[in-house]
Amino acid sequence: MNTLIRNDIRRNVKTIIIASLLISFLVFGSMFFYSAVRDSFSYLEGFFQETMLKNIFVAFGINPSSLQSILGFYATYSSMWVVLIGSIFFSYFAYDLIANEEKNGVSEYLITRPLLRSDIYKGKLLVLISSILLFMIILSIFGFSALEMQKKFSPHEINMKIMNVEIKDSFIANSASMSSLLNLDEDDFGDFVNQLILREYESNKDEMPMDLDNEQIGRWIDTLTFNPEQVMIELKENPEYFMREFEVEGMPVEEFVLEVEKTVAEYSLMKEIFISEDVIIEFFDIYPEFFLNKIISDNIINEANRILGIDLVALKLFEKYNINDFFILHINMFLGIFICSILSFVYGAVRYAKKSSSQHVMIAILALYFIYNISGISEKSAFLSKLTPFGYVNLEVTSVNYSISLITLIGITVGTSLVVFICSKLYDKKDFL
Amino acid sequence: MKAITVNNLTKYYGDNLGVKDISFEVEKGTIHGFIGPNGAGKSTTLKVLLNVILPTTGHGNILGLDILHDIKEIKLITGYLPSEINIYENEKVENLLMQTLKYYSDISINDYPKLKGLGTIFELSKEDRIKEMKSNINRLSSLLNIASQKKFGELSFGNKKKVGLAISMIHSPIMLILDEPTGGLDPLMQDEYFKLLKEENEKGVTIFFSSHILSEVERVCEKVTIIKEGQIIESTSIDKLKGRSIKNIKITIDPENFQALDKVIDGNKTFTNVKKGETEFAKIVSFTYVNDINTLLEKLKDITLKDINITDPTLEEAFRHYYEERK
Repeated sequence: MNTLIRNDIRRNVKTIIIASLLISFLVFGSMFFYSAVRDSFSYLEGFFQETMLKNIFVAFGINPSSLQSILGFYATYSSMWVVLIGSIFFSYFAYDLIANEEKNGVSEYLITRPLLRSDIYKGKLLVLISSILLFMIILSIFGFSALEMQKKFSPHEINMKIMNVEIKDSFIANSASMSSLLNLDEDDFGDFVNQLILREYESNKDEMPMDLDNEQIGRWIDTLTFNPEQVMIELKENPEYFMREFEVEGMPVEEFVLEVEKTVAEYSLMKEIFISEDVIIEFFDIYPEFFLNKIISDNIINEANRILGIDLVALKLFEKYNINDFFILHINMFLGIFICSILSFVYGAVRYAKKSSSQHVMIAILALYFIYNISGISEKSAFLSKLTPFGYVNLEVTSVNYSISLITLIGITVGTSLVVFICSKLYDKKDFL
Repeated sequence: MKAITVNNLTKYYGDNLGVKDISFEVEKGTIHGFIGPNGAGKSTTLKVLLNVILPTTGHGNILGLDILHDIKEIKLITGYLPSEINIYENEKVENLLMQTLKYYSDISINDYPKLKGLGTIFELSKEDRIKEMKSNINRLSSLLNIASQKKFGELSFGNKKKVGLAISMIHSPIMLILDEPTGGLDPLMQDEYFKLLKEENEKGVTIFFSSHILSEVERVCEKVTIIKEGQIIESTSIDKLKGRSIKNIKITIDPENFQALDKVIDGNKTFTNVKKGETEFAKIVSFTYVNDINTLLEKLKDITLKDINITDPTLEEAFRHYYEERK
């Protein structure tokens, strides 16, 4: 069995290294476009607003809003080079590995060596998995170097996992000097409220009434950004409509209007506080990201550090990209390639090899990728993503709490193990013709 | 103990029959021929013995090792030559031989207690075993005149066969199972190879080989098993077959001399399958003859022939004759 593994490694190691280097170079090279894309991001953003264009980008696995972050940019390019090309390459490789002898008529030589069918199956599976791991290691090294080289062009991002009581306390203790540094005005308060509502809306989306019109909510949020008071005025003018929309029941109209007026008064009071020096004391705890983002976008990190007496960059509250997310991204990519190649491997093990079979494998992978792409076009087609291995690969590094779910991980492990096991039993009964 | 026992072996490829309910035995230390026309099921039987394909029903064993359970053991003590030899095309022959050696170098006899006492090289120390296998490679390479420096894919059919022959003997097997070993070899090399097989046999190696050429089997085998259309016709000693030398004879003769020839042929049981024809200038008679060839020449000595052509019959013809005689 060792001889078999050694021979298979010797025969394939060159191909694996060349392919790994090639794909890694593509990713590495793509990262040089980052600064250019980032510089013209505001222009691109308008471009991405077009729903149709956006859908096209989504269909190609590109999430426009994630291109601004360096890791998001990396993930976007990787999804093309690594996930698609890597999957095709390794599926082809996996098929060829198990079917090589059969395709070239060498299987009779191989099976008459002192080997069981299970030795051949296990040995080749081991070679396959080590090859993918080798690829991922080479890719990670190149990817990490590219990120380190390009990170000077990237804005800082906030890693809220680092946020703790000490940091919070030092902000609150220095409320006065921080508020003068931040120099907040009424527009900032509008942004603050807007973002807060957006965040609330995002996190409570599922609990909202089903028939709530998304576009209408979008319009309100736009109005809020532009003129927050306008919504209050509309609310007072036409309370019945809003009560109906939000399903406010068992409350007389007068009481509703009274409530709204009270809220308007509170709003004005809050605005007063917001532009005072107590802003940090009162508001930091509610939504710290807003203030931290302001520090980043106003480029006043050093000044803030001086006032707070701590180094937010050294603490990694501010960082260019998160190394954990980088690793999780690679685990995700590994899983995508792994599932595709395992499927090809067992296909090669169970079926009798024909010259055209390796092309079938390639076409199948492309088809699965295509299904994954159309699954992103609309909500109705979203279920399709669960039919393809790519649907289980989460490349949304810019999403909050980017992680890999344990259930997915266990599901993939159990699923592939089961397939591998069943096919090994079939392989044991296979005639080597 | 028998070298090979096969009991009620049946193999179907999907709906197609390979062999049906065959049983036979091969004595230890003999050279045993396995003969039958193409497509009779020879390769199927040999492949089942080596676990290349799995039997539909039935079982068998080699030197007491079960073909379904002692798979590794059988492969360790047996040298197998497929009828069509294919190995990794891009590898140098030299490397292929060394790679093959490595499959046997790390075997420990303690992992295979059933092999104890069979006199295999696995009872030697690792160093001695590798030394013996290396000397096997050198001996076979020079004897069979193998081009070690060439890539396997560049070799001709005959030369590929020679590499296959060498590979089947690298690990000093005590059992050789060979599928059409001489196909593609030139007559000189065939002689050389049969000499080698006889030497191995004298050392105690049992040899079981398939062929569709009767004369080849006659030359080296003590016993022969005949298979046709997936069923065993007979297992017999070669002496019984040898008693009858079967020849195809075609005589061209002037019409005026035909009468005399006809007298010799007509009504004689040793002439079968008689066919008569004629061209513008001559008459042609062909027949199958079983007996001492000198007797025939004696009978023909007074007749003026234009031409006589004596050839080995095809296996089909030999069988047909064999059955007609048995009726």
